[in-house]
Amino acid sequence: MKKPVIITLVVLLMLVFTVQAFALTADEILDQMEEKRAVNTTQKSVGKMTLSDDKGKEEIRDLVMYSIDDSENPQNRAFIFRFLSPAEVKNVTMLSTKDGDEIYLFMPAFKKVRRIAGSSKKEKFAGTNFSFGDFSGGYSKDDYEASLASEDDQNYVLDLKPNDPDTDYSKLIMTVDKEKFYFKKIEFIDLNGNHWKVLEVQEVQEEEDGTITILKMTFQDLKDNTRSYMEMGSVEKDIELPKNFFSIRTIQRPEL
Amino acid sequence: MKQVQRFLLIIALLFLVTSGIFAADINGEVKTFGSYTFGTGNFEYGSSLQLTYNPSLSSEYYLMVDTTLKYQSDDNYSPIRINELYLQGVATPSEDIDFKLGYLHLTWGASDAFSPVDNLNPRPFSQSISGDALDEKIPVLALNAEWYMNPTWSMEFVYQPEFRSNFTPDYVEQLFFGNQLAPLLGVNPQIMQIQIEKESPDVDFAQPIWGIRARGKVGSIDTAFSFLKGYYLSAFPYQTDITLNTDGSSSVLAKMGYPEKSVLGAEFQGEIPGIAGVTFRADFALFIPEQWSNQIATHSPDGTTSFTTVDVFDEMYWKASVGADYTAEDNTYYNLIYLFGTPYEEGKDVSSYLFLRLEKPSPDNKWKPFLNSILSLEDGSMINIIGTDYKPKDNWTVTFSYSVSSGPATSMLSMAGDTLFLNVKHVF
Repeated sequence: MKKPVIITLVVLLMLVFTVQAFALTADEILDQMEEKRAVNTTQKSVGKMTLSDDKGKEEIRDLVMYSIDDSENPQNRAFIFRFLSPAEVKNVTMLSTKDGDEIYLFMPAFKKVRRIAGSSKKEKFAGTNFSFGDFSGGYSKDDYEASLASEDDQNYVLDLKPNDPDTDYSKLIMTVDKEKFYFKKIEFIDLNGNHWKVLEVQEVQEEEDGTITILKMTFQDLKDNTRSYMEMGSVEKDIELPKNFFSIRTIQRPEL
Repeated sequence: MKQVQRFLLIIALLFLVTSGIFAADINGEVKTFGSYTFGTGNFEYGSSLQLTYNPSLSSEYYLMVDTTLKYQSDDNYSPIRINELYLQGVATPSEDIDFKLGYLHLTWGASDAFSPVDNLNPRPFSQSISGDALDEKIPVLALNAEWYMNPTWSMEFVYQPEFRSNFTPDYVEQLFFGNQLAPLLGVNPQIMQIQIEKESPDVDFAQPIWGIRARGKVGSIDTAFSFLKGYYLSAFPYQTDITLNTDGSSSVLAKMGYPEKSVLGAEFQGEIPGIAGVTFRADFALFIPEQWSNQIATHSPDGTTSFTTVDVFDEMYWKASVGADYTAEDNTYYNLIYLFGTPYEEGKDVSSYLFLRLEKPSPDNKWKPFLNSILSLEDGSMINIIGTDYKPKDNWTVTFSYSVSSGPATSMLSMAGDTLFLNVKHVF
């Protein structure tokens, strides 16, 4: 009788160790997510953004976005974001270079490029719920102190505390898909500990190389009760772009 | 009454025309505005239709047509205006070159207001310091080419074979000139009869106005250095004939010209190390004018004539605009600028001002209350404009503001008076 008990104990212990050996830490989950990012690629996305105010009234904006992602040197990460309609914001264009350290805004009416700095990155971009910083930011373990809060069969839930002392957020609660390693939801907690914004991903596309492209997402401001919904109609990857494309020269052009 | 009827008819026509344009690939705005100045009881109003057509002719060439039809009760320099009309080349004739050729608005300077290096386009007269008024320019015929030498630096070249001056209504020009002469001669500017004759400089294809500007980065600071060879855009007197009458009145005949000038400029914008979130923008300009003096002949009632020479420009001088802007966590926007010289001041008249802009958009961005202030550090005069933008629906903006001026009666800022202002704008 003793033998089966010992065998059962050994099996249980092995199972426990095995599970521990395969459990991922929060940093490892963020690393896995980084690997699922389309790195070393250029990308062009054309889509729509729907802005809803607190009374549910909607405004639709067409947009085009170009990006380049360099995993070896994040300083090379850059993107250009331009509104194509409506008339009020047509051709308003944002350029983010050096992984969001340098941001420029081109507003056709002023005929010049304006540098945006520091807390201006917290400013809402052209009436959307997205701040300049929200557009530029990734979620790398270098930028956050990450811990695994919980997990179930489908998701990990991470607590991310920003390292940036100038941030508006005390914490981000990120729900990560266990199978595909992309964030399904991010809850932004303000400096007083209250829920402020929620970013939810509704649809992704898994590429042949396993990387993930977000096609539909919603950004909600719980304080203002406003919502921005972004839907990418077409996404082209590894596109050929002229040299020095991510520059203030490009964002002044009449067409991208 | 007839004028008001005509005004209403024009507004109705503008809105009618606008509705028919929605389908075409044309953008624009229709605007109507009015202001009432207390004290003088002056009521000004107007409306405008601006249309912009910017098609691509090929992957490298674009056309820009930007015109305005404007009715304005006072001081309208032209009812039909070409704001811009040009051919634009992108990455042509070489991959590193972009250019524009035609009637252009050229904007130099990093500063948000009154940049002293932004000297290329003349401006229409305005008593307002609203954003719309500050941005208004008169186009110049020019070639503007930019050569992108490397990823960091570019070189811009402007060639302008035509001279155009600021538009200042005659009565304003006479008022300013009279106020300048009055203390010099000890006469009352109210009973001066002033006649001004102006002579434009010889500018053509062989003797153009021209400028170069290198743009790039020094460290993390966006920087530009420029040189402009041109002329002042406002006229200055070189010969003045004054006849003093026995009743104390006087008549003045002034001949004016546009002195030549060279301007060395430097522009900077970036973040201030150690002060997170603040963007600074600074422009400096060194003006090197040609020697310019005003020969004044004064004929007294007793038949004698005296001669005086007043130096208008006899040495170089500089102007600056140095400011910083910051957006707080509650989205309040602060922009404070120190100005050494405005577009209306040159040479010995250059003085110091502080300019402040505050904006506090509502959470849904429908309301944007603002405060614009300009304070003369020379005489303490100031203009404060308090108002709000309101967006009742997409593409519509209503701006309502109240402007209060104070200071010595002779100061330029106090002359603006106290004014109520309403502006309704629809963009399509």
